[in-house]
Amino acid sequence: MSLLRRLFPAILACALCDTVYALTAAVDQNGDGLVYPSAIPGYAAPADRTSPAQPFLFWLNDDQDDLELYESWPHDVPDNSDDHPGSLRDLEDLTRIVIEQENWAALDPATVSLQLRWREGGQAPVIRVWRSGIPRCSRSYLEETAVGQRQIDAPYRQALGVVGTQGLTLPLGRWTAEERQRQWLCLLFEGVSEGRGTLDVSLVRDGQTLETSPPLHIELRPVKSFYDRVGVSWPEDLRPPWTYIGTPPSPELHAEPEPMGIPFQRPWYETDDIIVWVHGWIPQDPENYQRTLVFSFETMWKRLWHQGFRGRVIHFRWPTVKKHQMFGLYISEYRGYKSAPALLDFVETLPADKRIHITTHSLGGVLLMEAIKLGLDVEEALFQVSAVPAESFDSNESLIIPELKDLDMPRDANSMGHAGYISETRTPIYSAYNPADVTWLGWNAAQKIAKPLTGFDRRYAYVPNNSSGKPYELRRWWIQSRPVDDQHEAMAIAVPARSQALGGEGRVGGVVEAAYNLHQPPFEFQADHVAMWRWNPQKVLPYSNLILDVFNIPYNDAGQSGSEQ
Amino acid sequence: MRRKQQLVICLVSVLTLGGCITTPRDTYSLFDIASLQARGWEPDFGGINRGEIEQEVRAEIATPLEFHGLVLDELGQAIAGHPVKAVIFDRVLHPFQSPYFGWSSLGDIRTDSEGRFDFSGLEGAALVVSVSNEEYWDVDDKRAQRIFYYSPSRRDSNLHPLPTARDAPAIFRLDRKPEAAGTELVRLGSILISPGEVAGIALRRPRYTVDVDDADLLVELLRGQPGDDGRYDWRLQVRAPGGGIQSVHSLFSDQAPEGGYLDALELGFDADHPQWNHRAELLCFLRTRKGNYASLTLRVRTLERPFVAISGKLNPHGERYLD
Repeated sequence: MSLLRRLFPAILACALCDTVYALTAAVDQNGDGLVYPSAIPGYAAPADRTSPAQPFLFWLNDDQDDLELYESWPHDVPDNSDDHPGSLRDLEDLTRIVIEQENWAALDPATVSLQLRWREGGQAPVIRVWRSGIPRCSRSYLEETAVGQRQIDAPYRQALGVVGTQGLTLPLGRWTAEERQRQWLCLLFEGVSEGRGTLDVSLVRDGQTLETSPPLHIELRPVKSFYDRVGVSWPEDLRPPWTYIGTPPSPELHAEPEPMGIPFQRPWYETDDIIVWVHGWIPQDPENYQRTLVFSFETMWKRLWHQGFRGRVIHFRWPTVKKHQMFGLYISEYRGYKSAPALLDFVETLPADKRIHITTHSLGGVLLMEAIKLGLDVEEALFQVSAVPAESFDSNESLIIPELKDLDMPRDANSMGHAGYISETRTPIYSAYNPADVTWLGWNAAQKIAKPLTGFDRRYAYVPNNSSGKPYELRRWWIQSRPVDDQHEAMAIAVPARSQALGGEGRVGGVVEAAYNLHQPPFEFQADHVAMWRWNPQKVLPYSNLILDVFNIPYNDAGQSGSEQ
Repeated sequence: MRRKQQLVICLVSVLTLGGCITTPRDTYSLFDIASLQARGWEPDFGGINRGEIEQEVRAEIATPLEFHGLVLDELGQAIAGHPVKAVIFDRVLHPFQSPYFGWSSLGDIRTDSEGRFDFSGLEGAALVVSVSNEEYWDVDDKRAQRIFYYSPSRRDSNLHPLPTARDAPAIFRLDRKPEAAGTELVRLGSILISPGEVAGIALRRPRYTVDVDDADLLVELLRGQPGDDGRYDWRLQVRAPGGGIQSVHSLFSDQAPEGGYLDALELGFDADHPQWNHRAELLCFLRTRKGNYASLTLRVRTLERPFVAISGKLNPHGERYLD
């Protein structure tokens, strides 16, 4: 195409007395939380430029965020099936397009329109577009409840339309005169269907193109393709340890890939950081496991992504048992210890040149603690409100709960107790704790009332000076008994913790490098054990930053002052 | 009926458990304490032996406390129904190695029809009162809060006699806040820095450095070679070009100090420091070269991808007010 032909629309526009300057559209291609269509002199922020090899990657909005807390399940009415955001939570499934032009006000809003159109060829995705309610095109709809609320209320609530096989034409009159005084017009969009395409953003009048932005290369995929999953299964024939008259068999467990029909696809931008995420006490039947995965981990993955994390996240499933109430807790603790070698083995299969970080929530702490005991050596380990004894990490007597001080059992790990179980490690350990978390009521009750297990003709008993040399034995009725040889069995079922849980205790030192109080600002999780994913993103993004900060990974935090034009 | 019975059983169970199970206390972490100590801050209890401190603090918080306040508008008229915030230092915080004063909020308080509010029958070492809000501030003390010391050992710290009599109340005169009192948030996120290079940081430019001529802060990280234990000497120098900076133990105050600013601050660790860490935090007030004030938290992480993360408040109007 000749230069004259390319410039013709602009020349024509000048002839019609509108001044059309260069048009540039941009998305947050580099994940820094800022969208800059062009570089700014004196400021090192790069312009966001996509290319066919490095498209902007985002996910389909096919979950169902129509509740104030949590998400609906099953996804009967996916969010991308209607034309308004379902909730404040749904806003984390939207992303921005910023369109820059020197002087929007010089264009006649009655005759000039913006046009968004996929180029032909290939399988282009489908997106739904909204006008952003945030004048400066910032991410504050994700960071502040009031701003997010503005976005889901009129006049911004109603989508402008869909860009699919048909383009979308938006008269400039859709924006107010005040908005057109600025250099940028701001859009939000969601993914309706997957694909990879080249989006042209143009200024048009009477069917004539006045100016076209350099193209935006965009790829939309199912969210599950963005993160990896592995899982450990428990052998069906292996029963809880108290059901064995003799020594229970010890399982050999391995982590297997969990593609769930949507395998992980390495994004082009992947950094050298890998976060392995070990879940807490969750259900395992396929339906409830998938639901929990979406509610919790997948939500956290999105929040880390929004805060700028571009490494790999791997969800590690282990065979918890959520039913049978207290017995489920015993079994899950026991299985946590037994699954730790599989976690360790899996981590050792990860590339040695990557930075490996591990985190766990609640009861998953058992697994991570045991993996550390077995020699796990990674960059950092973060225990999130973890249901493991604080005394396992710090045997200091000041951590003992006064009512349990005189319990007639040894507390030392060398005598099958918990105290000092982790006495040395090369992995720096961090703890996010919340003393107000209601979970500790149940956890403490389990320690005080339910350990050692007694009932249903079985009873774990502490037998000092036992002839077997083992301090604990499992008695069946009054005629049979066997020594407890396995410390995991003892810790999970027979020996109560003498301290608070690590996730409730701020005073813990020992091998813990640092602890962060989630009851205090800026977190203020109150009594909620799962606020980090249950609450709307506008209230909990600082927590995602805490995770990244502990892992020494840079993060976004641009807010009201962070989007200056 | 069955559902009601279940609810009752459940409620009784929870209450029973709540009554007999010890749940965690909200405490500062050892890390918080170590951070304070690393910054060289030890509580000053007038040379009292550590073993005696708790006893001393317990005595101080047992001081009888009576307070009378009066809230007036800019014309000197009493304001009825005006919200008042107050906290009383009335408890000993554990598990600090050195006990500190803890406090309780006195709840939702409003002035009566005569613009008065009173506290009596309480015990505490000190009382902090604030009548400012988003629209109004206390013209005599724009820090938004006044502290009244009651314990005998601290009464000398009071600038005015304690308002213990109804006919001599503490008077709070309110005025509408001027535009110049408005602040904006500083949330820069993480800014990567290179050891040995001076990096410019502007309070309105997130995530990346700026030219040093445009910078509100200049930071430079110096990092030594790691030893066998992985530890290394490191220093972060923080300069305020054309302005000033001062480190504080907390950002409790809503007003930047008028004086006491330095050209530069330094933080870091020698490799053999017993509390060595590759991370550190700096709480500071900043006066920019344009004469604006900010209260900032600066986090520095010095491993292989060193960065500083900065958050806080900026008053862009040249006022020291940072509510």
